[in-house]
Amino acid sequence: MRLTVRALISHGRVARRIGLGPESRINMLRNILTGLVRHERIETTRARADEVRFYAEKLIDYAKKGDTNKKSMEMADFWLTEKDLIPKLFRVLAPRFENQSGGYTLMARIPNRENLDRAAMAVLEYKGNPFPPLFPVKRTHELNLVNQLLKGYREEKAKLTTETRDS
Amino acid sequence: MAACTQRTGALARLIQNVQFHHERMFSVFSLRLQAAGSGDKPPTFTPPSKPVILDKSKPEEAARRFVSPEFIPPRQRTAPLKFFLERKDMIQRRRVLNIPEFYVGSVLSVTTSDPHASNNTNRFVGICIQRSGKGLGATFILRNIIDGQGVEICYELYNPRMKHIEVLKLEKRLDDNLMYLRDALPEYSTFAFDVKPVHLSPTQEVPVNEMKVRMKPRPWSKRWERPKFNIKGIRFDLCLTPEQMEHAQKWAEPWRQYDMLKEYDTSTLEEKIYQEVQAELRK
Amino acid sequence: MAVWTCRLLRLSDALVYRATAILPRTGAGTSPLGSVLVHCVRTAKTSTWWDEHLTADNVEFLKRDVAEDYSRLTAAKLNPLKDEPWPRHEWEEQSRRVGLVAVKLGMMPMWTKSGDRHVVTMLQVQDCHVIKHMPKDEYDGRSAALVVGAKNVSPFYRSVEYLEKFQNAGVPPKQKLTTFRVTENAVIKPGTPLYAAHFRPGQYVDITAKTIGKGFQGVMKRWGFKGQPATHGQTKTHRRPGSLGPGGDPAKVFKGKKMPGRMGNVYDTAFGLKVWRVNTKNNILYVNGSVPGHRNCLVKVRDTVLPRHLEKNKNPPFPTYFADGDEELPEDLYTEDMFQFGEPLPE
Repeated sequence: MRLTVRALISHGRVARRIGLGPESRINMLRNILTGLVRHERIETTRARADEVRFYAEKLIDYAKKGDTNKKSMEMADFWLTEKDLIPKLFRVLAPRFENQSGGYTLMARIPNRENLDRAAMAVLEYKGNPFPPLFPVKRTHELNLVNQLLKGYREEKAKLTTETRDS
Repeated sequence: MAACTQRTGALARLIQNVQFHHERMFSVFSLRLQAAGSGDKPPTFTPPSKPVILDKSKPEEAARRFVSPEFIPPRQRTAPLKFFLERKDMIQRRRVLNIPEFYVGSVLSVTTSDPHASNNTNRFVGICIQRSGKGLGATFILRNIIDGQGVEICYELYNPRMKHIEVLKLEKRLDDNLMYLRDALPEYSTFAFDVKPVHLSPTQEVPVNEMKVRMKPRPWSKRWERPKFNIKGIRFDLCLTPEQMEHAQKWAEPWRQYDMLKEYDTSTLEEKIYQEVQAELRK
Repeated sequence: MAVWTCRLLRLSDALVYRATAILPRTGAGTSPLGSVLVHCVRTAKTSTWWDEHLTADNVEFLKRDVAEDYSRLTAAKLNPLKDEPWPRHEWEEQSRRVGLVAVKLGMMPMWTKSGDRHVVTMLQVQDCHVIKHMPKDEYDGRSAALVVGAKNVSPFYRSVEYLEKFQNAGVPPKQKLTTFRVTENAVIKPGTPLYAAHFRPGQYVDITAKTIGKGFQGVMKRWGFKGQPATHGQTKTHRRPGSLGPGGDPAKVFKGKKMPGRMGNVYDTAFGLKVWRVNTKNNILYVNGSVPGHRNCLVKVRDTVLPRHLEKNKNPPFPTYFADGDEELPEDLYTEDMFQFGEPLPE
């Protein structure tokens, strides 16, 4: 699975080869991305979700430049096949991620598809959507043994450093 | 009467001119005398310092910002330290050898040391048709036509044999790669060796030469009409029919410009490298 | 400290999971058969992420603590000559020194003073330390050996046994460990840092690394076979190997016949590469030509074993270069005939 853009450029390979060719690939990703912008949480195969994730994040980066920017308007016009979503991108999604740089999406693996080809599936969503959270809220393990021991060690160390500084 | 005054006016001007000539001759003569009198050495001619003309009427503009393209690292998984070290060596070399700003389409004169040539130097003049390579391995190709024979020489920018690079004419063309000059009429890549360099002030924008070239009859070394080359500097209307031009569009990939994965935005990187290089060169 | 906390973490994870695993077992124990047979079911999840049960504060603290720990450990080892050093010996004809583990940065061109162009590979010596000394009888009975490691890594994803090796040497955990066979007079105390100045310009080295994997390849790419013509009546025979050998008499294909198969991803050594230049500040070796392995891979560099270059490897820094020794080195060391970029133009 891809981690960063830098990590994925190896042997000159930049992208997965999916679909029937480069044009088909882009068109497929366009349709998925349009669905993602409309529903904000979608279910698709894992490779497609992983591939479209990069474009979903870049599209937000472009949208943040504002709808007066020519390039970002062109990008939105190309990537959103349903044109009623363009105002949503600029008015809803871009302000939502205003204070955030990167990491606008969340991907989660789900069990393989049951019926057709048992393909590996994933859920992709824009963060801050109105749906119930994908992952259960993380339980705080404040009181377990390791945390308590570490906390004690931390405090002791802080005390030691202040003492050495004072003396 | 009017004619008479005109004639006297012309006469006066003539006299003035003569006087002026005399003055110049006198001044040179006196200079020589001074030089001869000051020492025992044979008198040498010392040219007067060039007058610097400052145009005060225009507001002061910032000098052009230019980062040589080989400073920009390619998009790959290499540690940035490698490019930093290479940049350091490149700057070291630039302290000794002045590598001027030039673009594809500029006319250059390059002097290299060549052990096989008489008096060990070789000078070549030509148009830069391609710049390639990053880091210390950067190269550029000069093209000229000599005695009816096309000559292209690939020079390494940082080769120690490189002695002198002079820009005879600083300009850009419509394209970033002029390899199609091989298939163009020879007049477009013929340049005289003894032209004087055209000076361009450092605050001025580099002019774009919007010349479109006429081509030799096909077949060409490459199908330049194909969209992947994206060539603007060829008169396609003279050598191809509209049907052929339309047929070439079969290979167009209009979606490519929207593929954000292919983008490599170097603007911030360029700015950082520009600052670094300038700071190092000023030291 | 980092190592100990790691161990602590693993211990606690085991505790947590033991507790959850006991529950279904008791359920199985009270089965309708009434047997008290307790069968252990190995649950799929036997380990956790290192920070799975930690609070955000503690995670941040641990990361910071590990970084501090690493810099402290590295700083403590900077003066090996003052810190109870092992006795140093003189270099002899038959001595074999330790080598280095370096990161391959990439390649660049280089010119000699006469203007000839060569290409060099840049190797960075990054956090290289001697980890362990194995005396003769402990190693293989023929010679002593030194284990050298390079490139610091996070301790959170390594096993306790692996981390213990570095704890004994008192250095941060490393990504790569390599063993070098050395003579008895060239042993170095574990924990000693190694630098690029261990090799000097003009020396010759051998470099071992894992080559780039090419996958399953045919005979033309894998063994350089010629293939068959493209035309002249060829049917489906352009890149195929052709005959595998004689027919009736041996009645077999000889062992070791060159055939299609997996190519690359095996250890390979480039012998007798000249060191053109050494950068002592950033610890970079500039080695002639190409080196096996991809960019950023870890390579093993040692003095060459080729007899024709032994003459040039005489009197190296022995047993290694010590940064706190008497020797003052400039930032860049060059061979005599190499063109230095700052120097004026040669005629």
